Amino acid sequence: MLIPMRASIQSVAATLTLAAAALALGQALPFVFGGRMPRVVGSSLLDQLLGDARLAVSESLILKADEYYHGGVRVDGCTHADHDHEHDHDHEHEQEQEADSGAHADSDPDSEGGHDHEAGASHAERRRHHPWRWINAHIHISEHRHLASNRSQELMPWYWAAARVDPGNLDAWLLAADAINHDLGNPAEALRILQVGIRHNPGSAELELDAARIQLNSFRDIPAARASLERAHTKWKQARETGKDADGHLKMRILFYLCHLAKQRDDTAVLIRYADEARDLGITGGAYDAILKLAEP
Amino acid sequence: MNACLRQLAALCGLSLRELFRRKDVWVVLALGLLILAPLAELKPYGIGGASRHLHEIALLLIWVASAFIAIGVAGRQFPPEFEHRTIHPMLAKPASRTTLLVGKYLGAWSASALATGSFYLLYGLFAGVKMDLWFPPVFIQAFVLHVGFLTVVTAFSMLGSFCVTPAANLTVSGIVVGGMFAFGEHLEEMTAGHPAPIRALAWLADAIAPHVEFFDLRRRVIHEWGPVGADVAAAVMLYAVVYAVACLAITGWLFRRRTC
Amino acid sequence: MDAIVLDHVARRFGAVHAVSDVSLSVRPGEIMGFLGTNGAGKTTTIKMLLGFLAPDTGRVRVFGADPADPRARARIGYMPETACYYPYLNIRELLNFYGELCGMTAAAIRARADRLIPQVGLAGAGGRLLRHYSKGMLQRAGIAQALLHDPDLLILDEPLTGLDPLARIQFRDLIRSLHDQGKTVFFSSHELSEAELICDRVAILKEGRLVWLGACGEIAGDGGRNLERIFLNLLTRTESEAHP
Repeated sequence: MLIPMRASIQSVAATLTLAAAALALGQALPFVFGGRMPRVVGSSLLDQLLGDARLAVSESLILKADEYYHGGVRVDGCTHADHDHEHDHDHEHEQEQEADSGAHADSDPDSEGGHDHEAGASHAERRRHHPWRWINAHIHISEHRHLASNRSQELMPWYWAAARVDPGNLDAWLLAADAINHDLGNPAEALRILQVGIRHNPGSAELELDAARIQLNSFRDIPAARASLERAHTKWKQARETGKDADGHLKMRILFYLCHLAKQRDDTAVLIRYADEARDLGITGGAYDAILKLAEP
Repeated sequence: MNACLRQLAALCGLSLRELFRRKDVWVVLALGLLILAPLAELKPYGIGGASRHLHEIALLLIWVASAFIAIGVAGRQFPPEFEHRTIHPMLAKPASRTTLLVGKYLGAWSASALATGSFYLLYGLFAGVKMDLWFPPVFIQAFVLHVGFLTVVTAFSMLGSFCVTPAANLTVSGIVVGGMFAFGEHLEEMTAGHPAPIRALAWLADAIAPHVEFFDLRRRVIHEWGPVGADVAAAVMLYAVVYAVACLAITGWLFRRRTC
Repeated sequence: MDAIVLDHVARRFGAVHAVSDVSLSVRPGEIMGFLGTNGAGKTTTIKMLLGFLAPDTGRVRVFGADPADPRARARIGYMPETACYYPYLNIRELLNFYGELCGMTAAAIRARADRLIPQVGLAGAGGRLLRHYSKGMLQRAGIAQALLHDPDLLILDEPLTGLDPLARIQFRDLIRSLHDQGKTVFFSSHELSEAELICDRVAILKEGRLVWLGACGEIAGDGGRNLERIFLNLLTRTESEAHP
């Protein structure tokens, strides 16, 4: 018994040593050979291994987190991101509700109970007489439920992995920060994550906006929030100028907060300027109505 | 009857000895621990307490390892016997070919089940110590149904070993098992809009391919959904037994026709 | 009742007639040598005797029973030509396995193994796995597993392959002792000199046909002919001139 065990341990040790040596060599080669290395897009090992596939891998990791949010079921039309905007428990709550369009209105994120999008479908499955369908309907979960907010740490490994694989995946940073801030009650860590995300994505207005919201709602740090919002505003315009797809609704939300802060310090000129920008977007309802209310004398 | 049981026990013991002396199982156990131990210490963004991803990775490793072991062990029961002619002294003994087949099958099945049970036990202890989750009922049920999976896959691979070469058997069995895991539940829907020959093929696959997805309770374990009803579990295990018996019946027919 | 009866047995594989109309019988307690060149049909005949193959025509009986019946094989001990056993077992585990296949109890297997292992010269092998055995050691292991369940009939396919001269002498003595116990031995071999020394009768096969069947005692008094000369003559002569 001992001889086979010893041989197995030796095999495993040898394999691990070889693997470690290969990894070390892979990391060392660029330093040793400098400019003579073949050019590869990206600098990390993951870039070199996965190439553009890392975008797809990162997306699938986000979907995995979503699956975890729904108790192991992939649900179209109901994602964790849809619940993102319900979590503000501060004095801007009502206005923010109006500003954040697309809220998933009929769900209670703290519930582990039956939020069943597919009850009808699952009953139909069970009624079918084919034995294989009957077995599958009972073995595999067809209904879904939402993860309790105090269990949101279960999503973190997937968000972390998604951000690690593709730092350009904004959802990975945004969803992680949101869950840590609202579900796990750690705004400082959420802010830190967003700041790391901003370093990897210096052109992202959305990350700046979410950072501003935390600075404003959790830390009441108005100067920092204002700076973040102004950066968000600038980045949004730069994205539009460079021909990138710049979401008008995102700008509306940025303008809402800028108007809110301008109103707080009684800076009417700035408030009107931002309101005019909002009007020029040509988007009505929700945040635009809230901005108009703020702009009323 | 006693002599027959003794013969079956002898054949079982042979497979068990072979599995554990080949060291594959020990390497898998060691590698599994090496993968899980650092993952358990992982705290993404400084947030600890996440356990479901560990369950997912561990159960995936267990399923992949056990599928390889089951297909490999079952697929190795007879071809080396024919190749190295160790089948001859075995056939010369007062044991019928049916006894030899059943004994070899039980040996492969028990070797795979024992290996899988070791993985489940080790992971159950790991989860208990690290996450204070001590063998919940759904975990036990998942293991029982996993044994049903081994019942099917062992018989399927053993049948394959009489039809194709060992390497081809490993490949084909692996593809069938993997394919049914991925698509078995949705074969009908996937081919609904296709021409009649494709739908006929899908119907055939649905009818005769091993529905290994019936035995997969991983999502229930990972996401704490609780066990399935006793009637469903019984139906699934009955399917496993019937499917295995059908495969073994065909294998027995092929074995009796084979010139040794 | 004869130990072995082959009654007009024939077997073909496609267009190849491996065995054609072979008839012979072996009396209980007799030692019969089964000789022939490579491809003569010896192994095919042995496979039919063991029930591995069914004859196309004719009848095969072992102690009056069809060897395809597992119960008939309880009285047969078989040593294959190719000494290949499970490399991950040692000799005791191998004998345990075969003993259990024969329906023996653990105690009976232990007692027989304790006797047989030194008898075949493997006492020094101890716990060594079979993968570390030499060819000669594997042959000895083969003899041990054939004798394990104390069979009445021993069918040995090329038993002398790989044995050194001392081992051959020991093997000869073993066969003689089995003969003294009333066992029947049927073995195929290329070793004509050994067959001449120990067999009561020999049968010679050529291209699937039985071309000579006779007692070894006839050979010495038959004009000074010996088995080797008879064998060579038969191989070079046509079938019609073969000694009946």
